Amino acid sequence: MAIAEEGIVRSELRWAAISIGVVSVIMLAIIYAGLVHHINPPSNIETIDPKTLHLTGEFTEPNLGTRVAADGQITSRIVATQFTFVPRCIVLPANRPVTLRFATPDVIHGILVTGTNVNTMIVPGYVSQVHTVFTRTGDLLMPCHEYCGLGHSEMSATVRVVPPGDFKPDSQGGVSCDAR
Amino acid sequence: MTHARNLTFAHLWVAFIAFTIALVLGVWQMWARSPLPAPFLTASTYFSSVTAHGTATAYVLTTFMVMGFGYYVAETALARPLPAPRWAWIAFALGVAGTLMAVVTILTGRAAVLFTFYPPLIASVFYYLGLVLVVAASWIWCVLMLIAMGQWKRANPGRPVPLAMFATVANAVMWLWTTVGVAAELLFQVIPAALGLKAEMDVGLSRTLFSWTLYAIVYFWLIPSYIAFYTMVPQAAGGRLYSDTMGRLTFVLFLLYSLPVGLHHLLMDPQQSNAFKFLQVALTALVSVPTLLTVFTIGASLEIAGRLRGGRGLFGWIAALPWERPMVLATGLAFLMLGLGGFGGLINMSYGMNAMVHNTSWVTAHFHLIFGGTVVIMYFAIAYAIWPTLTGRAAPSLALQRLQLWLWFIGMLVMTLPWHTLGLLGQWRRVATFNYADPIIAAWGPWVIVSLIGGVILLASGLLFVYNLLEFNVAREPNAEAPGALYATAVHPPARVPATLNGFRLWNALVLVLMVLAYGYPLAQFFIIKSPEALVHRVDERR
Amino acid sequence: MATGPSDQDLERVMREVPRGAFALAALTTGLLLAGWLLVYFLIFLPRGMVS
Repeated sequence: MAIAEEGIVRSELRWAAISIGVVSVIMLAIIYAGLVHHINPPSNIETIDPKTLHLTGEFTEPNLGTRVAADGQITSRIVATQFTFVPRCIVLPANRPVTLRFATPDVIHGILVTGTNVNTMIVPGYVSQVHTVFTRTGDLLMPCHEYCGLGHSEMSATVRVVPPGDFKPDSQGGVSCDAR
Repeated sequence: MTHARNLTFAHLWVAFIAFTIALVLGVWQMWARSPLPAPFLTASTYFSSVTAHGTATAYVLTTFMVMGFGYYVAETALARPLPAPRWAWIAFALGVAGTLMAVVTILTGRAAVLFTFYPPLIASVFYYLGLVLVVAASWIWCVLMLIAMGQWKRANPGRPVPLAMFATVANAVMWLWTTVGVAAELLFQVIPAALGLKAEMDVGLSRTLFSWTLYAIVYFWLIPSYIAFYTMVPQAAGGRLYSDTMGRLTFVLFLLYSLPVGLHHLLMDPQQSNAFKFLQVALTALVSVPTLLTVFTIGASLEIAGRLRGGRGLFGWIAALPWERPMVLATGLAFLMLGLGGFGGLINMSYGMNAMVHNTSWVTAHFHLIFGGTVVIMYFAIAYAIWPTLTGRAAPSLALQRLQLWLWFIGMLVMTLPWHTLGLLGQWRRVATFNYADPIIAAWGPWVIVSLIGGVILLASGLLFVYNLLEFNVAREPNAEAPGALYATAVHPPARVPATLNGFRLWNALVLVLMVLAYGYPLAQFFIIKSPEALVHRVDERR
Repeated sequence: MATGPSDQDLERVMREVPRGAFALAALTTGLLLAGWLLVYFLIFLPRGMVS
């Protein structure tokens, strides 16, 4: 026989090596994006009690939306609940490091921000956190992208990215969409 | 064939009826999401439809197809009667009862939780119990497949188990491992909540348990199609299987690497660490290897067939293949969809890159293309191949079979290619109606309509498929071929194979090691961290 | 009953196989990798850092 089974298996192993090589290129590019471009999944594993988050702590209503801390850190806190985001509109500056933090008192939600890599699930019992830098200005859509019940289709928010010069915190460091 | 004939008929007809209903629902759902006004549309009807569509395709079509085809292989590849056929019929009855229980619950609006459950949303307990019965039926099937292979090995000491049966049992073993995750989630969390025994639940734990099942289950679905690739396609094309040994190794690699990778469905979840996400991404990259091997092995098997028919040169063998044969045509179309669907899957699994596509229509596009496309088109081809041996009649019209396959392929591309684009534009999932007044969303409208047209083509193809099967009943010409003639011969049929490629003891041990490594801490952490529990939200209140 | 290839015919074609399969698999896998890299550089990376 022109080709014995050993020859056949050798050709398969040669192809397996090439396949593993191709897959390795992909894995290396992934590692590069993670380490050099700082693109990683949102994995901060931070717990919070969904039953009390509206009563005390970080996610009480007066504390929601965008705030600039004394040290200059820009953080936007949003509560996702059946079937709205609180607040429904947040303002963030372009070209600055910002942090978005989400929590939910009820069921699983999730968000993406159109045109960006901002994407996270929002799981009751946990705080979701995404650090990013927005590069383009405008009104971006931030829908709830995970099924959360019958009102899911209507659940959406706006991320208003403004030029850094237009980003003016008030006396308490807050910036909201209404203050225009 | 002794017992398989009626068992296979029964299981496959349940599968295909559920499938047809799912197609109708799917088209209506796409109509609802388009700018065109759709009838009967409320949030409740839409999400009940999505639950029914997902349950019918992901749990009913698949489980009954796997079971029915498994019984067929067990009798025809092993050339012996199925052991304990009464248990097979008990399993069938359980599966049908469970399906009906789940379906009635969905249609009465008491289970709009989607086939992925989404705790702490909790449906009527009868939805989950229905699915438990379907899984229990499949477990009986697994045991029967293991017994059948064991009996054959005792009657044929030292001989290699025929590849089709080895692969079927690999699937059964894998399924037993796979269902552990969802069984634990249902048994310890969801069903107690549905019964009102618990008012709170740990959602991070339930999502992680479900992820254990959710990726490996797609290999449960696809292995029949791969069994066709390895054991039927070379024969249908007039060639030989390039390597029986590599065939066995492929199914072993699926068993090993389909399971410890489920976290790649949770890459955007806050309750798992980057370390374990990355580990499971690396293992996911490994599970692409047996598929890449399959492309080569089946390519070589077809190359043998093409060159035997006079094809010459580097690619001339492709045109020389007998494309008029439905099994061969289906394979070509399946491989095209595998290329596109595989591309989408590689994007999905790429760790940080998942953020670009998670919960967008890109994901919907991927799994419809890879499962609805590559896998299901081979389900059609399998049905067409075995129907003559089941009915005793020859196929009345191969032209109609080919037309049906082409319509499926075209419809699938027309439906899913726009979804890829829409996903990158930000269109998100599980939406009953889009607000087309918003300018960003309005731009998506034309793509959505194109996708809907694809769905309509698929529905036509699905109906033609059922028609083609029914036509056998009025066909005149008797079938001349025995079932055994469907199976391919290898270039070098093995006289013996090592025990590791003839059984699963070693592989079971390795699966255990891999699962402890990959899922040990990700599950244990919930008992260490003690994350706060969420309140149960019932969806089955009467309106 | 379908008749298989003769040993001679099989011997003849097995001198060429798997050149064609290798070419096809390499081509399709190459396209796959190229597609992935295009998305990586043209869509994914430009969308910015997230962590």
